[in-house]
Amino acid sequence: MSSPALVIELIDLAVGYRQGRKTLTVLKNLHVDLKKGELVCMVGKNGIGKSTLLRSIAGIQPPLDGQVLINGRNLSTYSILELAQTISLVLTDRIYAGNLRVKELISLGRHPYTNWLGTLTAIDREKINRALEISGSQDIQNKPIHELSDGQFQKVLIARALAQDGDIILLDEPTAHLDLPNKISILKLLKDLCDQTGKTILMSTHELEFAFQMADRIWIVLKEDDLISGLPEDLMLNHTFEKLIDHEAINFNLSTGRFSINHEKKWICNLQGDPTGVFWTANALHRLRWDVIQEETATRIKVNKVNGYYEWEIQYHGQVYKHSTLEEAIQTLENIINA
Amino acid sequence: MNRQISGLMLLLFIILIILIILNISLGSVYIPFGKIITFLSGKSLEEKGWENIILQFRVPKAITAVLVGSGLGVSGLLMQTLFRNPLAGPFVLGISSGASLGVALAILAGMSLGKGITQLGIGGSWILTLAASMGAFTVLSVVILVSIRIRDSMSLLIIGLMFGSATGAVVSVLQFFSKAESIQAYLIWTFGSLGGLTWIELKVFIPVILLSLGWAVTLSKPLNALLLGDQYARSLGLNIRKMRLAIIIVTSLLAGTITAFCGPIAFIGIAIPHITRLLFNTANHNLLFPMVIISGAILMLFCDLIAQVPGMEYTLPINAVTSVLGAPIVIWLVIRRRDFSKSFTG
Repeated sequence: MSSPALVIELIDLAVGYRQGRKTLTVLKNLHVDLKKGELVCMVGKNGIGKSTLLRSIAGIQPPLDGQVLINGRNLSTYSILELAQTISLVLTDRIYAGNLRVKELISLGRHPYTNWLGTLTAIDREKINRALEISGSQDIQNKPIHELSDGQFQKVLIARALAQDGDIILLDEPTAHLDLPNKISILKLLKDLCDQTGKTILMSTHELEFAFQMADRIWIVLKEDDLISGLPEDLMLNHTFEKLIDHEAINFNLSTGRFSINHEKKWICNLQGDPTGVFWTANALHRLRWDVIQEETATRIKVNKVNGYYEWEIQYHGQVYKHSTLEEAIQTLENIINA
Repeated sequence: MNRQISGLMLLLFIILIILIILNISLGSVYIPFGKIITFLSGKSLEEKGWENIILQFRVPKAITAVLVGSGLGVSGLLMQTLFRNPLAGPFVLGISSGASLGVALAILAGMSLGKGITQLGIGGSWILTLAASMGAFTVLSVVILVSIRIRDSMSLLIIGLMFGSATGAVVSVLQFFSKAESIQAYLIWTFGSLGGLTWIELKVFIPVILLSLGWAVTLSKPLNALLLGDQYARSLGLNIRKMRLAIIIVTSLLAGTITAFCGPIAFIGIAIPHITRLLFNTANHNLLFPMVIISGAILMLFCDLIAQVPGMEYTLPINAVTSVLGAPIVIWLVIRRRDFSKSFTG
């Protein structure tokens, strides 16, 4: 076999909770794997069990049935310490540990390797510094963790996972609570990590568009017993992905991979002109419940680009209205509707 | 930053030494300071009475104060880190209440059987230690069992309070059926006292407290991991169950033993960890433990000095002094450091 080694293998796995005699199965019949050096994004609705599955793979929560194989070995045969040296975890919640400083938090990643006092050796220090460097957290290394922004905090948590130096990093919604630039910088960091360090990364996320741009593979959790793994593009083309967002208020455009809100349409118009102008004009018209069609209609809108500026020309029953902003054009459209 | 910390550490250590000497110097009988120094430096005094007072009363009391302050501070720190709650401490979680119940059972029930604990001498102190430790251990174990099931610390705190009330109620019932003199004996015990230990009792007290403190210090590394919460701690290779058990045993040994010998000394257990965290600006237990031990000893010695009311013949209940002195210190620190609450919640 020349194919890359399987780092994680789930065999007929069922995960969930046992409380007394009651069993609450969250996910079951899972058959899926992860190859070395892959970045896999797990997507699925809120509450479907992504976090439970991650915790079960991390060995924090025992599986209800089936097996988790880590590097070909059953998870249950690992000691807690061995597991800590193989898998690092990044969770969603913030940590409240008062005066704990960034570097101290990252140093805690070396916990499975240090002696009973937690003394850091030269190797430990090197790994910590490298984690600081890769995550770009050197400048904040002496800050107390409660002073960090959400984006900085997430980077520090990833640095801690890096310092722990396992082959596998599991992340539970690492981009939750983050603004767009922070989201992108975290995702880029993870992608670079995968490429440069050869770590295998499995993360749950709701960032579908980004997931499809960066993941080597996607795990889609559709139902309790339905986890589908595949190349992002395959999942797009075979319509698996659409099932995930099966909701009447959402439009999914397969040719662009974009989602849009499905506004109920009340009026129709014909729209032509400069492509960029048409794109944003259509965006506004959809929001205002106009359907844009190719055929001739009573109301026709033309978008012209003159010296880099846009102009809107509305034709209605022989009359022509010209506007230099979309806002004015829309006002005219509303007057037409109300007339 | 490290130099600042070692400087502060040195300062605290000097204060500790000064307070120990002051503590030994002051008391209801006036002994000239020069004589105290002479005696402490190893020479004998002409006044054998003074020598006796220093050796048999003041030195044991100073040792007791140091160990009580350190022990309660450390057990408070253990509880606050384990439960991730700033209100946790031996007293709040009902450990002291448990110890009180044990002692109440021993004193009140024991007296009604016709054998006053006070008449038992050396055996008595052993029985009290045992009774208080058993009481403390029982209550804390139940609290931990509940904590494994519910996880959320606020509920746990309420449960701890409930245990306190329940054990208090049982003590009330015991008192109701007891004679006046045994009730008074119990009441005096609840005031707390550092002066009741002779060298014989210290032979039990010193090793138990020192061993427990030593054990606690070995827990620094896992406690640091626990700061990140249970899930991270587990993923870092920590056996949470073993760890919890170790924390319970150390805490109940410390709090139970101290409560048994000195009564339920309030406040120090909650206040010292906060004071230390705020003073040293750290969450690292490798640093917190030695600091809590020194700060605890300092505060206890200082409280004892105040309790003696220099120049007076009587001693105030130590329990009242710790709260009256400690509360303003904590309030001041909390107001000065606005980010205090960040240590535990958002």
